[in-house]
Amino acid sequence: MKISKELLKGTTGLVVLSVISEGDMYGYQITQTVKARSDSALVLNEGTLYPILHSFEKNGYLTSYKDGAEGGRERKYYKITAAGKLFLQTHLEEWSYFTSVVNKVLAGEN
Amino acid sequence: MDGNEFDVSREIDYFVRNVCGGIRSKQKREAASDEIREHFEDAIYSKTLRGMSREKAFREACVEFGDPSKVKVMLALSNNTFSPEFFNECILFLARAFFAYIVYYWVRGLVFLASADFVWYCYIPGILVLFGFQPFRYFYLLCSRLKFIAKLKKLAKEQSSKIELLSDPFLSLFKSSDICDIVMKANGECICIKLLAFPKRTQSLRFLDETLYSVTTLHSAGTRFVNRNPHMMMNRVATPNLGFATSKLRAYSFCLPLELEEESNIRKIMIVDRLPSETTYVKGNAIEYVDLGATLFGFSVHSVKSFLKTIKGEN
Repeated sequence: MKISKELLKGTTGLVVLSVISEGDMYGYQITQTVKARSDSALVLNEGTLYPILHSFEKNGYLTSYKDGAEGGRERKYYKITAAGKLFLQTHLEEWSYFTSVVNKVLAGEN
Repeated sequence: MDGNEFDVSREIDYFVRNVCGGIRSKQKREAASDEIREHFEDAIYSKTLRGMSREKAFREACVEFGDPSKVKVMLALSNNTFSPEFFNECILFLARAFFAYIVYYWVRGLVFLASADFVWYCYIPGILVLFGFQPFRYFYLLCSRLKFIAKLKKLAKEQSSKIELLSDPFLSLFKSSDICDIVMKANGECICIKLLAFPKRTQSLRFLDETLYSVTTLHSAGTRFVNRNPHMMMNRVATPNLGFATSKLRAYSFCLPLELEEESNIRKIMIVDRLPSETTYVKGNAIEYVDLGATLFGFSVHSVKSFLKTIKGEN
């Protein structure tokens, strides 16, 4: 099933930060991880990913460093910072509250 | 290599240069270019492992990447520290002030003894030219805004209804234009008005998704055209296919003021005066021509005249 853009809006940053929080990753690796974990339901558009990564880096939620991978090519890895972890935690709480509320409404509960 | 052969590396370079072209800092631009180039190489490599040719893999990777013109603006926004408008305005102001100071002392030294008034005859028009009549522009904008509000109030009075102004027409001139320019209440209904003024009918106005994307001034001679930034010429960001987009895209998205988010009865009006002859709304691959009375992002598009007419007609 394809997920509409409207539903994805605002969650991309959360997804990206959450994936990076599990280990340092580079751009392509992030897209592939998200794709694999969501059974291709969430496909991160690269054009969306990089501006998000750069703005997170600018805001201090991520830092980056260059490192050579197996193929010998140097890649830019992103690492979550303490501020990023705090940001992620706050937004995860907000997200779980939001989904529980929406589920409640959709289920017709009071 | 054969001249007609598709050179993937060259195409990647071209693509990357385009996409990262809006980033002002050379260092950041190069870092972003390297990163995106690496990304392309990875994507192409994994596709070629599945038996795809490099050329086809590149084309597919481009499609997966997303709209390059949009990405270019997004990258510029996320990497450029200063707002270009702020930066340019500061530099320009300092340069003008310094120049005015130098000219004043030079002219005073030369002709002050001959005629004291002569200095002011030369100096005041000179300063006006130097500062680009900016205060006059604001004054003109304020007058037109007040005139429009007065018209609305008069109309409401004629129909024994009351209009209450919720926003300050003067202060809103200096605010970023991401909120409505005029907010008013009439008969319990909240009316948010977004004003867009374009002096020439030959300008082409393009909306993309939820943003005023670009304004193009059509050249009078044939198919050539001059691209202009909707707000300020100097802050433009070049895009590969779609002319120039503003680097302050967010400033042009149309949202309601925070204090009104809870209001339920809101009527949103976008007054485009005058509506350019070619106003288009691009969503995905579809291009729609926008005319007066159409709805864009929940705002009904009107000219001043047609908006006043609708009010007249309703009451």
